[in-house]
Amino acid sequence: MVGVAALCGVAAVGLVVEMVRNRQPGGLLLDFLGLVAASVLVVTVWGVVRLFGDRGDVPVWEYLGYLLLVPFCIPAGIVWSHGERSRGGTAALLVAVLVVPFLLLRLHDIWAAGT
Amino acid sequence: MSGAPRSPELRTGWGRTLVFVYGVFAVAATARSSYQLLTKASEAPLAYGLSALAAVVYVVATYALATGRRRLAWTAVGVELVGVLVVGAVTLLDRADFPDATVWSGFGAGYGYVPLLLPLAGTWWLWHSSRSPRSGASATSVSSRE
Repeated sequence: MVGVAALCGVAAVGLVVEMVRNRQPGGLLLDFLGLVAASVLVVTVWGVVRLFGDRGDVPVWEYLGYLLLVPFCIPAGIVWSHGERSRGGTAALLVAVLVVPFLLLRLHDIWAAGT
Repeated sequence: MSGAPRSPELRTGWGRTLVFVYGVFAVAATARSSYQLLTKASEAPLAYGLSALAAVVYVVATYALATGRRRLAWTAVGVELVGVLVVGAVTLLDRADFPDATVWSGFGAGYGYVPLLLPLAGTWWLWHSSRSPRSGASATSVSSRE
């Protein structure tokens, strides 16, 4: 989870730079966002798998609710910001990238409280 | 409300960002309040009821901004601002009625005060976009089912 959060941080810096330059994210940054989205997917699968192990008193539905939101954040941000040529589109994508570490932190807290 | 003009500029520029943030809160608040009401409604009925109200307000605000329904957006953002201010104040003064937090508790402190900033940003955007030159033209040229 920490690694994914770090990747989101790097992507966020790249998006802030593009916002300042008033440019839409392109080529390399979009490829990197694809990598981040793929790593988020891996964490999601891992999060589901560990529910089948020793999960203590973790509230399963609350945990799953947050977990299943995570992989949709970045794709939703890319779709929603697509076609918006102003900084607002890039900022929407930035929000999507920043929501991921927040959700991962919530997941960590829910898991830690239950085990 | 058929015939009311739409304002597609509400979801362009910074409106694009605002709609996305509202959408995130709509999904998160709906999921959270549904879980609370379905699994433990009796533990804190007032708090969970207000969470559900907040979820409805976020859904309506997202829909109104994304579809350019300016009047509906003003209503939703206004209700949201009153809600976060009233619930924020009450939860600080009377903690006994709120054994569990709502999204608006403590003026949204649990969410980095974004719930307090969001209606302010929404109010600013609705006011700002109504003054931009293109809003008048697009508002009258696009028909509406509102």
